[in-house]
Amino acid sequence: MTLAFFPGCKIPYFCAHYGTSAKAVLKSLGVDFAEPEFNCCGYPMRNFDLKAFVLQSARNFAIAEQRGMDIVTPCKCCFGSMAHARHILDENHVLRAEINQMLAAEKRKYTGVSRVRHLLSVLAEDVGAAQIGAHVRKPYHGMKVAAHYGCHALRPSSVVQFDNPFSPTIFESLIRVTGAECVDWEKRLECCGQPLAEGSPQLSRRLAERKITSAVDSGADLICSACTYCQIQFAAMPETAIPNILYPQLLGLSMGLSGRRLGLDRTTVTREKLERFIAA
Amino acid sequence: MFFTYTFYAACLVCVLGMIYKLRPWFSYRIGPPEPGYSAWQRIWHALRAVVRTVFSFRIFRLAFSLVYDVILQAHILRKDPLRWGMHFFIFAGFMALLLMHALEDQVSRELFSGYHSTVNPFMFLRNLFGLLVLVGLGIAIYRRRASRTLRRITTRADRIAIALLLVIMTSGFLLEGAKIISPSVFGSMLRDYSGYSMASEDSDPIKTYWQAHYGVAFPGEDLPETPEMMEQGRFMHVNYCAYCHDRPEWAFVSYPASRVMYPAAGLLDRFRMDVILWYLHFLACFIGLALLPFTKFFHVITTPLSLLVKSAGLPARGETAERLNRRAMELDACTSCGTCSLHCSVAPMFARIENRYILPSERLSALKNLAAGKTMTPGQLQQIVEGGQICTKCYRCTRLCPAGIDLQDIWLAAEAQFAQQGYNPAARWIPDSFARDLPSAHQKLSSDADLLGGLAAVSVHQEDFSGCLKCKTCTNACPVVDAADDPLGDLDLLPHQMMHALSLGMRDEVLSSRMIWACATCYLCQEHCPQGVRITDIFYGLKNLAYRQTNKYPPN
Repeated sequence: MTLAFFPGCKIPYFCAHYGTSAKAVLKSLGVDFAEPEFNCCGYPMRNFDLKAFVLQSARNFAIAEQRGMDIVTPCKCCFGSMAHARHILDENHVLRAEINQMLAAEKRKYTGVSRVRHLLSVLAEDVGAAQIGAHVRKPYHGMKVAAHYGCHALRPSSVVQFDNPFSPTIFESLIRVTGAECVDWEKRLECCGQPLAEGSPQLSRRLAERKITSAVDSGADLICSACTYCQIQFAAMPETAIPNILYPQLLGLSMGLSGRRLGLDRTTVTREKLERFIAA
Repeated sequence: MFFTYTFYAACLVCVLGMIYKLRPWFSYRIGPPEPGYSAWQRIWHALRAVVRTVFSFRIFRLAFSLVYDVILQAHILRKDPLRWGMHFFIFAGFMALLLMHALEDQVSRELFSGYHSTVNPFMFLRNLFGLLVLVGLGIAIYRRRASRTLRRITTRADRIAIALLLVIMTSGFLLEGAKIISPSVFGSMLRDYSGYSMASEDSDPIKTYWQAHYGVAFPGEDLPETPEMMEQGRFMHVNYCAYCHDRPEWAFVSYPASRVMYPAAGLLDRFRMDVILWYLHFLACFIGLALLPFTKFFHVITTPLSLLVKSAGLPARGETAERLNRRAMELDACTSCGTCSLHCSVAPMFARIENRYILPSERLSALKNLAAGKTMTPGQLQQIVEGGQICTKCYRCTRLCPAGIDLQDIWLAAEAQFAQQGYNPAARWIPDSFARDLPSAHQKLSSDADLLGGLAAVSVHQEDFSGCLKCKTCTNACPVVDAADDPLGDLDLLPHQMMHALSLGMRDEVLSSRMIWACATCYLCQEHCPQGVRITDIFYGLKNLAYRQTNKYPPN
């Protein structure tokens, strides 16, 4: 089934390299995807108006349904929000009717056929570790990576159904394909603090600092994330003790994709540092 | 005489208007007040930027952009062919008419030795170009009516622009049609070019010939088209008329119009309809010219300028004078074409939240009014700020804007400006009272409806939290509680206390606690709850409710 690539609102301007690297990796792995024009998933409105949020997500599903596609997004907040909205729409038929009435004005309808999936799920389940491994031409050696899971993909597990919420493995298994090692770290499943960046900036920074300290303590060389918001949060931390990288960049480099396509110049980790691990 | 004077008057108004409209480009400011630049400094910076661009290799990029973006408008074609068709038909048709027809003495006669407005290809082309404009206008009207979003953002300025063009074009076609049938026009031309008088019987052959082949009406006269008359008429026609006249059918729009008017030719000629239409036609054109700086037509200056500035590129972001100038100029470059609002990634929310400033085009025009110093009610201002906060800065409007306006830069600058004025985007819509002034929050919230009723409206129900055992697992799992120096002092209530207070119906304490706004929405509490209480979802519901109850200017 063709997938509809959903970049989310923050990628185009604030984190463009995540979009380009994710698409480059998908293309190289032969994953077929289209790019219809979606709208915001509604995540930023969740705090203020449930219906506005659900309406936004429902419209995205309606667009995907019209094309007979599932949605794939690299952002965990977009993924979690749309999965949550879908859950609400499937549970609450009164709200669903109300939302569909709003969508009817532009001849769209949510029926619940299309699913939303995170980039990592597509890579792990559709492509598979073995297939990805076959594309890895320059594996890393001796590089320790702290996998940052991202809250909204993991929890609430009954709604998002991404992985085991207490001991997930999907991210580590994908990182190991590249030859890198994964560390176990205390704050692996905790919040990066980004959702509070605007409302409580101090608290937000503190949460990020605690995560970073935990990663450093575990002896990791890198924090690897697979979420637009988490990446924006890590990138906003000045002079962190540990560099961060997005998963498609980590994978892409080991697949031999060009640093320019992967946007390596926009991360805190230098290409030289990464290539040291490849050469070793 | 009248024609000449009105033309010069229109030109004068136009030039003065331009100068008047240039002033805000160096005085309007979008963005925080620092660093300050005087208008003279900004003019100096603008001139310097122009000189530096013109005398650099960027001039080639500018030349390319002039052809590709400004004349061909290829960037619009790639994104929306219908819109391109609409705009290009109007643009190309109007420009061609301007050069070939309106400036015929200066352009057409100079370029083409045999130029006469009534010979081909000029007669045919004039109708073709006019028809192009009419088709473009037709598409424009259709688009504006067919799309809900465009209907919503269409203003008087858009209607005036379309109406004025419609008047110019239809009066032109009707004028040509009226001249085709008019015996008076025929008479004066006959006198001028052959010396014959209409009253004299000697002119009957040419009248007969023109009645038969050139569509002229001679009401009240009986001119039988006998072979002799026709042959004689043809002879006179070749002698006096044929050099300047092709068959009127070539005016393929005006000629059918003349056939419609034909039965009433006598009446129309008595009122000299051709003269009336001529006045209407050129006065409409001169009004358009005079009002150019004050109508949507100003974009023929500003939009190309904006596109060229974009292609020249500005130095890195920052509050430089060049950037302030560009923002101010861009406010005039917006044609309210609606592309941004049609593609805006939060616009669908308008169906739920009736705040027109969610739509980028509307927000831009509101920012222009603000920059111009128009007074706004606190409610309007609040809605503009909120519209900006709902915007996710997804960059789509900036990428799609056909006028090349750097909207993202304007949104970010406006956000910084509002932050300086106390509308802190960091605080979003969290009422200040939550952070600083608890008693007033209590008062405000107490007067409202019951908590459970309110929560039900945001999909949280009593059974959602009644299972809580107060085991504290949620609080122990919460990273925010863990990270806080003084959890109780900073958050008012901890997660398990929130659930407990809810089951006790302690509405005020729950809704005014800072815990709900400090929640990072990581769902650790909910995931760990042994009783399956949807703690994070309940927090979301409480935030919805608190926002609704404390928002002084709710959008709906």
